Amino acid sequence: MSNTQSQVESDTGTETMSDMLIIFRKAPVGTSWAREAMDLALVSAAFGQKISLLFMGDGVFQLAQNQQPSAVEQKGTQAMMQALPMYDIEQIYVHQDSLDQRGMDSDQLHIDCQSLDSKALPGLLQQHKQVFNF
Amino acid sequence: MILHTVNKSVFTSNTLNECLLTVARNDGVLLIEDGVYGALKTAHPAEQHEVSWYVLKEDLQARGIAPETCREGITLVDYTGFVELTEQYASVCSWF
Repeated sequence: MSNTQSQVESDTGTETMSDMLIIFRKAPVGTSWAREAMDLALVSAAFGQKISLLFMGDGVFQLAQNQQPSAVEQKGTQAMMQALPMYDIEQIYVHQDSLDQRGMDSDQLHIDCQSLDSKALPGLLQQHKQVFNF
Repeated sequence: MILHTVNKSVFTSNTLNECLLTVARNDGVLLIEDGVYGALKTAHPAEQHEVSWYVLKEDLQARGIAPETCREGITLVDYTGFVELTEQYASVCSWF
């Protein structure tokens, strides 16, 4: 985890900026925010944009394993998330404190994420040309 | 240099606090719509950062909030000022 943070900090200002950071902040079920955000990620990546994802707040619930949105006749985003590597979206971050507050474990998420602590967040936003919030 | 806009009341939503986790020095935070309740002296956002605080005057007026009841150090801007802020900052990030 500490490696991840120092990498983010050293990237700031030295590396070229990524195009877009998409922040997922809403719980997965009951609204279409999660799907809309994932649509934006996949479409933008398909058009050659360099995309990063950040899950924070209730958005970390989108990463829970064993979600069955079909139980309430919804689709969920699990399938779309499995497609992220095919779209070359590999910068996927999760806010560790948000996981901790919700009793979730970073190695029990249904996709691989790099954990960031709170002090790494400002640097992450600054290294992207645009930030989209969902 | 990001201008963050927040439109949820700090008394019912964690939106402002989540925003404050991500702000960097030289960023701006503009409180709009119900977000303006976060400008009250009795509102205590998570942490004080070295950011510039703004609140939209029209949204204060609409809610009957007197500028004197707002925290010191918050700049009142009107809609024209809002537009000028979007020019000053490199990008805008909206928290809702």
